[in-house]
Amino acid sequence: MNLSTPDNNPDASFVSALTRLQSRLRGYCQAALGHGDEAAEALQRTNITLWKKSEDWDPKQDFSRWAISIARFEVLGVVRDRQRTHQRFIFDPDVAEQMVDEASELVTPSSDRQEALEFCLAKVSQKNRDLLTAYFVRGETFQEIATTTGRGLSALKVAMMRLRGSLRSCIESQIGKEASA
Amino acid sequence: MSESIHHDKTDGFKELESMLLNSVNADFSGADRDLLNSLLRESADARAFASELLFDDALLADSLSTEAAEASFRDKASSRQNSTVWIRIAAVVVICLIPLGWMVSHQGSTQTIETTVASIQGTNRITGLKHGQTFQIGERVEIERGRAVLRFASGAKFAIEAPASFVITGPNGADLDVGRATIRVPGEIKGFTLVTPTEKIVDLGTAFGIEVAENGTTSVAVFEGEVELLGASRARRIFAGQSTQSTQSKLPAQSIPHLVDAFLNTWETSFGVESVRGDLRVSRPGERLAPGLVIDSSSLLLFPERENVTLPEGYALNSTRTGLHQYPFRSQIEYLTESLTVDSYLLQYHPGVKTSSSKDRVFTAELHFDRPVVGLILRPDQLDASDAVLAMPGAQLKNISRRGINKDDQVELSDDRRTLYIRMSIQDSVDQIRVLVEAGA
Repeated sequence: MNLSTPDNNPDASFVSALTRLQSRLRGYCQAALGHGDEAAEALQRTNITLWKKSEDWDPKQDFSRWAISIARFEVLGVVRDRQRTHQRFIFDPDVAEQMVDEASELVTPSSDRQEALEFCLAKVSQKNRDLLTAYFVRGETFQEIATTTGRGLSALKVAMMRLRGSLRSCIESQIGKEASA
Repeated sequence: MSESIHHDKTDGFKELESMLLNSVNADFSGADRDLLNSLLRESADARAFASELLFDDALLADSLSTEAAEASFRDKASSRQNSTVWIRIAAVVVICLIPLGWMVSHQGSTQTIETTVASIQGTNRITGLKHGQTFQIGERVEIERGRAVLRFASGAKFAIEAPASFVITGPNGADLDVGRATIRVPGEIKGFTLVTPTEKIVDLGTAFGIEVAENGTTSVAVFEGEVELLGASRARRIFAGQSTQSTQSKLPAQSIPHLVDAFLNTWETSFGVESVRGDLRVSRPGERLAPGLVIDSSSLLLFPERENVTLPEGYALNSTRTGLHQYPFRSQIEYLTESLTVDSYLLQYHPGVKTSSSKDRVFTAELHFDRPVVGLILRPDQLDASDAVLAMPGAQLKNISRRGINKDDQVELSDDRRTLYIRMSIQDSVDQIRVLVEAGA
């Protein structure tokens, strides 16, 4: 990876909009490509392309819609590149293309899952936060977490599924409340 | 989506959820992958469920890592001084994302964020680069001759020797395409990330050597602490005294014999030692942590000790002056008139068992640092008193008597403060002095 220094210098409103959208862009890429480094690569490409095209963005225009259209192109670019080099990743190319369409539904500003998630995450115990951090932030495998914590492998997997189930219900409930408010 | 419908869907997709969770683990088989794709291909509901799950996972990872980073920086801010640059960068660059950080850091005059994320602290016979040169995210660095040590904004030290080519990817990371390097991440800093053509290495509080060959083969030798290898589908941790080699990305690294000689040059450079001449060597990885236990009757040894230690105003040293220092030191006590942040080095002769010989042996050496020497501690009582703040934890110095230097010993500090000339006339006993060098910016 070799980032070239950009010649253009986008204004503060562009940077601000891009900063606000980062989590959702990452979510979009991951929803389309699954866990693994393909999503990170797509996000990297998206950020660079957005930066290069910053002059094309009209601040009166919906930034997220514009950015997602570019992210979609970059996600499909990653799929094509991997296909060209015969690399297999989690989703087959045809499935990844279907997943891209699903992902687009999640990024709209009206369904602000980030706020709902943070609200729900605040209710999670420290022990469970540690489990989530080990798995999702540090990328540890269940086996490694089991070794570190002394918990059984099966119990750990069950705990993770339950935890995610609770979080998911809480998020949906929060979004439902916001929508009806 | 109503909650009841949501629960119905979730109950039907337990297997799908389990597969998505396991999809990055090494035991996720080709058959598992086929089944996952088949489920998604055939059901729109499954796709909707999976995309929502994956989207939430990304948001979750972002929230948790932001929390962790903020907590880490709060701790660091309260425990360290002189970290303004890192904190300023960290506030936006690290907590968010490296690519975005790169963009933000290139903003115009309305932004207050520093754009420099690494700089050259020292060099040795290098061409094309100079001391103090700064780098921004995305810059490629090529080294054709010599060695250099870069200090990243995070505080990580990256000492590399030619031929080498790498790209600065952030205030705490780089892509190393080819070259041999030692990386040291002092203090509480963690997470320095090196990406090579066949491996991804994340520091977990450590010192390690790395060599990337022209064909991308990556060898890693951990000197202190531990690192995590993330190049294969399953992460692996390796610890001090272990070495691995990775020949292909996605394949697990193989254990190899732990040989450190190839890294000694960059190891030395990483501590700001530009060169040593004469009867002196820098302690090897492993020796550094317990100087009291290291016996070598054939040469003087230099042990890099604690880094970035802030000595308070009024702290007593034997000398802050250039020129010749020799016995007696009774009158040579100076007090710091302002606080000073230093890296400490213990210079030692420790022959081990005493012999009946009473004949002196003379050791002479020249020692060049990449930063100015700002103080010397030469007397036994002051060495003892300074151990608590300057010696490495577990240095095993308690049982050493006759520290300090003696009647016929001489230490001379050059006018530019970067070179020490040492002459020690030694019988079979321990001699020690402490050298304090200005900490890097």
